[in-house]
Amino acid sequence: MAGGEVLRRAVCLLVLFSFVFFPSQALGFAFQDPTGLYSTVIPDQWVFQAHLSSDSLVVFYGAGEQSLLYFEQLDLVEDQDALAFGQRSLELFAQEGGLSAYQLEEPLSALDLAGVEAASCLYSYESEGKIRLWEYRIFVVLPGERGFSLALGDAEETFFENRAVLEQVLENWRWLF
Amino acid sequence: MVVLRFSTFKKWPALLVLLLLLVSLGAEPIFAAPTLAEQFEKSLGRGAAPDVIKQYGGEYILPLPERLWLEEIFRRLEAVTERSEIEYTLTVLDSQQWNAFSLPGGYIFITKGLLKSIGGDETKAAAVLGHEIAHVEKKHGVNAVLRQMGLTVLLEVGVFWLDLLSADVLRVASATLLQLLQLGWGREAEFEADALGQDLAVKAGFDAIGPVLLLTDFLEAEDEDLPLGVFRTHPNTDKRRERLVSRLSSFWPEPSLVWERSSLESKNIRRNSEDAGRSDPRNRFRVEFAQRGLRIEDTQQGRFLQWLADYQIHDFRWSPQGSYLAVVAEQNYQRVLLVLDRQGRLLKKSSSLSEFGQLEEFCWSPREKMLALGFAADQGSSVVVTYLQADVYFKVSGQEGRHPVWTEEGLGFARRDGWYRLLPPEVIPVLIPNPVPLVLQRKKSLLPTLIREGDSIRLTRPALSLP
Repeated sequence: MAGGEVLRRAVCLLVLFSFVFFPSQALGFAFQDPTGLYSTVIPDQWVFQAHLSSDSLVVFYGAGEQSLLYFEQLDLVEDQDALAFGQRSLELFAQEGGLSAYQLEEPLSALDLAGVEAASCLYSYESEGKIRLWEYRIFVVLPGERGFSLALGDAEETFFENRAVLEQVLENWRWLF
Repeated sequence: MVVLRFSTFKKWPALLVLLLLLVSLGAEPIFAAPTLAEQFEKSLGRGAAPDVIKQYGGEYILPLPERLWLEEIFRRLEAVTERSEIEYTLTVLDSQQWNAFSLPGGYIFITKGLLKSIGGDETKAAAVLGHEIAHVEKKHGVNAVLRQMGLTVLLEVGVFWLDLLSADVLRVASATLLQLLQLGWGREAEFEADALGQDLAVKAGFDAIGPVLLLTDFLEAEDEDLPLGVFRTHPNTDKRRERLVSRLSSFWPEPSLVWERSSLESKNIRRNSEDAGRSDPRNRFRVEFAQRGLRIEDTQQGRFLQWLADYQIHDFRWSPQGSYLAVVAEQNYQRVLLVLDRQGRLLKKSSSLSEFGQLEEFCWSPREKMLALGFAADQGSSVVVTYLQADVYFKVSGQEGRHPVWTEEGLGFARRDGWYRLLPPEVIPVLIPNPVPLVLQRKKSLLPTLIREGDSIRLTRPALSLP
């Protein structure tokens, strides 16, 4: 085998390796929320939904039919911390009138979101169209007792394909206060 | 708890019991412990509530965000009620009918269908609930039952052999109540509940226009033959709406003198300048008078448009955030107020305003929901307020007023002796206490279906499937 051919194959392998192990890490756009509370990087395939978004709610649709990423600023919450906020929210989700066929997949656990104490969990439920949806949720109680939430949802079958998306969003998360 | 029964008092003089009942059925409760009439009222409502729920398809559990929203509106209204002995409860019924009603004892019901028609409009929701709470506050239900059963007469002549809380009486009363519920509590009771409901809504921080908007919806629904349920049996909707409109100005305070005339002149107050009102706050459209209508330059699209070509334009003014364009135009020698959106679509056209005089000037409220109109007439000038959403007009300036200016500080206008200001009734938006995050689902995109037919393709209309 000629030396050139070996080099060509090595380069091809390297390119392939980089696609497999660094999927679209760098391909994204910086997003800053309209109120100047936070910024992050959103993968390129995810499209901002202006008609669904407002000052307090920011929504992105992914490539999948159910893939959805959204950040919400809430008014004052009375919960002591993120875990209590999460616990109360999940209890209401589980109630009648909450989420249909709700199931907690991974319980609440503490998390550090860019230096702010947060709580995360994973749950699933049935959509209006009878599709089983999974949703990863982060709860935050910001200074001044204001609630904040981040959610990444998708159909059960494709949910875990979004892991890189979540990592990218969380790694680049910055609070702007 | 000691339950007082009439049989307990058999040997007592009937007059004493009559006095007790008449006093307790009156407006002011005088005993801390529940009176016999209150017990009867509560038992009556409690007994009939399961039948009502059953009759209307059972209880409907609202999705969480809607539930928290409705509960907060209900809580605010309940907080301003006067009958402290009543514990109000709200139940949503699983029925598509447009319906709401109340039972004695504080049982309030609203159907899923009516809530759907209200959408997220908190003023309309407060109007419905306020009206139903008012029926309980005024004891319309319990009084109607007593009247219907002839008990009022019996009580008045002092016949007290009847055990008011016995199972038999309550069963008959409950059946009577359910019958009456279908007919409403009577014409005067409805008018009274309209007025008190509007008062309660305003006290609770909702806009007084709510009941008017709601009845406007009902008027439209009557035309379209929508499932109006009990509202069909209420008095003439037009008349009710008219009465509510006539009360709107009563929620505005008396204007107060801010500066006297001499001070006013020295301050050289700047009114909404012509330019500020005329240029699009979002800097997209340039609007000019045309020979007929308005000539619009869309600077974004680089094109010229003509709006309101059928009208002779007298004046126009953009709303503060540029969402709407208000226009005073002349048609058939009469001035009318028109409101357009940014696409030039007509959102509002006033009915005849001649009763106030000649419409001369106008300005927007800071939140773009209302307009203040300045009229000139032989008998004097006046300032009139109207809502963007409703074709209603009411004078707020009293005897005299001109040059309306509306800022965050209130609605100002001039009189001969100086500058006056009015603070509109406070409207507090519904904020859900201790909220929980939303859970969103993707909406179906309304994409057309692509059909291949040989070498060509055909796009069909998006198909909508209703849940």
